[in-house]
Amino acid sequence: MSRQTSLAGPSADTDRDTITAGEIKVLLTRGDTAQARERFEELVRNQQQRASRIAYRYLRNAADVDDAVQDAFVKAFVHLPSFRQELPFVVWFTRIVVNGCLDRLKAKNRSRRWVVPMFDSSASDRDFAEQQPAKGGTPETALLAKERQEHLSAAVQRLPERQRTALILGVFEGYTAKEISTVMGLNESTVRVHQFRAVRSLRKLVGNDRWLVEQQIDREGVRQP
Amino acid sequence: MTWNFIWTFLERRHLSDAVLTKLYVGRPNNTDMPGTDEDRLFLPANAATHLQRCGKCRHRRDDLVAFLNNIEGSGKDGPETALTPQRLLSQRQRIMRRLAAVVGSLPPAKVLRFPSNSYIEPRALRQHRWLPAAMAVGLVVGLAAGRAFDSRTTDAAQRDGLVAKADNDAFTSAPGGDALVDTQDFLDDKTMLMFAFGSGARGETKMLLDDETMLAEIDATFITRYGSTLSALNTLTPQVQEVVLVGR
Repeated sequence: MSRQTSLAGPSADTDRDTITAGEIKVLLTRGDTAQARERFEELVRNQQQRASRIAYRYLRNAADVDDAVQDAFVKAFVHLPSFRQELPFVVWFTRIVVNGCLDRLKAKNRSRRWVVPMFDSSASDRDFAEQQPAKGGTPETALLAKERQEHLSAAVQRLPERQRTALILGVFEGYTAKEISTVMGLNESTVRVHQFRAVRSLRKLVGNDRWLVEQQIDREGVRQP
Repeated sequence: MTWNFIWTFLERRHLSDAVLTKLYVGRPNNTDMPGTDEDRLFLPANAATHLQRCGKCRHRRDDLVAFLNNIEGSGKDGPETALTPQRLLSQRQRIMRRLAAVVGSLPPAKVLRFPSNSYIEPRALRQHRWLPAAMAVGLVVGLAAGRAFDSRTTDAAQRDGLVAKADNDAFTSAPGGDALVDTQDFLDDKTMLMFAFGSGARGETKMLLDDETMLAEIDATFITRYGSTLSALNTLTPQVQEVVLVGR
């Protein structure tokens, strides 16, 4: 299936980053923090984009993503001495990112209960970059694509927490069930059940009709049989 | 025969959504699948065989794959649009600045000292335990001293009362003392005593006091078993007043 070949997954850089993390851990244990910081920049370069993508799927706001990713890297650096090298660094770090995002979402929901917004934050709160149309195509196509993104993001946000994480990491980021199980602290079979339920719920939420067909036509130019 | 029939029946059963999802999301080495027990019998090889034979399942699988591919594609567009390279660069710079602050390359922030609250720790209380103990000791000593002082004052008052009585008798029995009898009715013992001391009769009063003390002791002795013997002696002894009268 095309799915299995299209996904690069996080495992490609795993070994190299895990070794680097181990070396930084040794430096930190020796007390050579300045050298450790320099080496850590390599990990930041390798993991930043993936971490930002994952955080964006949870938070849907570029400013919040910046804060969440910064916090995650600082936390990872501070707690690196407790990192176990038998676990891939990317999985360990993804767990920090996901937990940080979930904490932020909970805090946001709590504050929403008590603070009455003065204006519609859903639209004006967004970063300028998010308001830019998608690359290529006509303005109409771009508008439709943006609408679909909004629709999909809203649907993903409505999923229960575990289903959402299983879907984001499995479908969008290409993590294996084993890696997701390590990130979520669950059994592999349970992760697969969450993935299946997430897909089923998403099909109900997004709808399998017009939205899907239009997208298919946009992408391939012909209607699928 | 029966087993073949069951197997054929299971193979002809359409694949569930769980298996189709599994075929999309899962990896080739995944053997356990979500769904019912029947689903679990269909390992990926059997599912592939069924998909080749069953057009309906193939169509469902294509729908699901198209749906998930679209979701994946749409999901990718959002972050890539929002997270521009410039944004990621500035984000990385901020991360490195924060890490520099963490490792102490930058001067550490000044720690503000907040005033301590009014809560006293139990340890501090233990250290100052001498204070209530000293207060308790002070109270006991004070009570004892007060009691001692009180008893002394009582004794002095009793003695004063005795002196006053003696003075009173001296006034009444002294030469010209009859004139004072009327005045005595209006004055108490203390005043009379002061009056007596002020009149310059101090030595006389002292003598009378000794005599009176002696007489009081004799009176007390009367109560004892030697009283009868002494009372006989007493009748024989001339009274002070009689002596005075005889002297005149």
